[in-house]
Amino acid sequence: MPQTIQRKSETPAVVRASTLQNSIKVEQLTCSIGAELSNVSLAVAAVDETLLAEIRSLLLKHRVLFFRNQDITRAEHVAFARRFGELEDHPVAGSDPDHPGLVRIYKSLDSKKEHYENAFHCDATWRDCPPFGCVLRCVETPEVGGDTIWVNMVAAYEKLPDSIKARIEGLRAKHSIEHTFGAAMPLEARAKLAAQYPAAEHPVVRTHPETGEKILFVCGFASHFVNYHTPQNVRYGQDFAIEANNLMNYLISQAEIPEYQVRFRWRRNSVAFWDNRCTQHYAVQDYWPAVRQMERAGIIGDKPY
Amino acid sequence: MDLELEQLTPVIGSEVHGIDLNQVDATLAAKIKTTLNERLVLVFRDQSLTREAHKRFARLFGTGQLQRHPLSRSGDPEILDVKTDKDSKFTAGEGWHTDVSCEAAPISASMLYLTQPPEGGGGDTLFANMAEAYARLSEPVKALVHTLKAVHDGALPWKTIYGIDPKPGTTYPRYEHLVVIRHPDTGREVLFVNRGFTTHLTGVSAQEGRFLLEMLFNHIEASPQIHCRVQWRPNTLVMWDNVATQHHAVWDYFPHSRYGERVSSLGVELSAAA
Repeated sequence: MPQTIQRKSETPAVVRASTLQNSIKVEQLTCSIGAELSNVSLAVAAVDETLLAEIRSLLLKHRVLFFRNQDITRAEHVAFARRFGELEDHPVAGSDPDHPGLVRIYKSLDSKKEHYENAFHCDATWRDCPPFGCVLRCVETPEVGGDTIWVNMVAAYEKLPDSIKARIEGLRAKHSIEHTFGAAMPLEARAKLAAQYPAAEHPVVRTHPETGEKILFVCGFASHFVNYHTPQNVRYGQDFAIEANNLMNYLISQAEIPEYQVRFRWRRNSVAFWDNRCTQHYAVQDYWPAVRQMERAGIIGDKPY
Repeated sequence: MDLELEQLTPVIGSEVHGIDLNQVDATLAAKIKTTLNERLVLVFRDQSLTREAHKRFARLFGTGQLQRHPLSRSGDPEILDVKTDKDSKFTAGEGWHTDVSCEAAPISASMLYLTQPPEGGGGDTLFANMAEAYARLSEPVKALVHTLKAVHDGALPWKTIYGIDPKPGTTYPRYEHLVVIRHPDTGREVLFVNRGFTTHLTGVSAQEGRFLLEMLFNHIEASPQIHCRVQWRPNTLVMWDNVATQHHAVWDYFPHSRYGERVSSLGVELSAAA
């Protein structure tokens, strides 16, 4: 599968001489997605319009940005994320009491084995307006293990065969928290969660609101298509079950293709900032039992179209 | 002297520092073998190996015999040239697979020495720990796969990837392995089916087998918690346990070129997990 890639030597215009004050250095981690930015503090960037604009354009280009050694306070973490929008809390993972919107993903030696991790997903697509992006900071991590993988879902769409692109044009899918986070709950709690957060409906192919790129927008939260059952698609009832399920499984499995991925190894004070509109991610739970503390500022996004 | 190791993930892969592979004696080889049994993938950086030295290192492992590869274009059948460039229609090692699992005694360990990674970056290799793949199946599925056998056919990649039917009279290796084998050195149970060579399960209907195999293949692809992703630099040699792993060569660097040479140590016949 031939792919168009950009040579490191041709990227990107924002690499400036390191002698300049506040100069951001950029290193691409794979041909497809992810760049590590250095020589920048997010605490400083939060109050510097030029740096913010540069980070925003790098985010659109690389889809996930990594920063090392960000020894910043929770307030600075929140302040940086707030420059991109309002923050949201999570109904299952709790937030820091002093910093609303800063969700705590804490694992201790008592945490259950492989609870919510180990699945490719886009954050909170069960909302009508899923997050724009997230700023995730590592507070504590085991020396080995607990990597996170991000997937470029623009590439995943772009590389689909034309026949599949034609089949999924105009398709819509339901995304449900009940089928995922709710699956491990007792029936009553599960029903309550479903009532509070009814499934959201999104296009299978969404458009990036800033770049106009097309994005394959189904993930583990997607439960079914809502408009597949047309005379063109379904000759007999059996087509509906088999064809629609096969197509959904095929689309969901695109995120598993290593050609679209970057795998990031955390250290204390590493930060990842991802565009949640055009990526999926997978938190590798291979470190159980261990102490691992992550703090996430999720930025509220637009309604997908 | 203990090896100086740096783990890539908790369950698979270690970088080995401070070793010149030209200087490996029997004692050091034994230590490397012990480490390989545990970590399955070892990464040696900044090596400087002639073809003879590469082969000499490989002979220290497995049965001491080297695989002779029918597709080698290197001039030496014991050296498999792994080359991808802008004219390639496919790349060696695309998709998850175990090399030549169609042999009764598959390759024990392979050593790929990459002298030319793609100049624009990319071209990583992913490895999966297939003992962990087995361990992470649910108990009912473990009990089921223990009772099954699968046919591995050397003609499969020819037919499906290259679209060439074998000429009448040509024979390719074909072997029926248990779906769960015991690792010859460690005794660990290993899930031993792969998309590259496994054609079907025996003892179940064709339809049952098709879906069961698909479930097992997807289990591997959808489980990064049993993978590591190795980034190459020029003159990196990666050694892997071919029985207990699968690998996937990432082709994200088109139109750039990637060149390396693989030498493989033959292994023993695989036996069943008791």
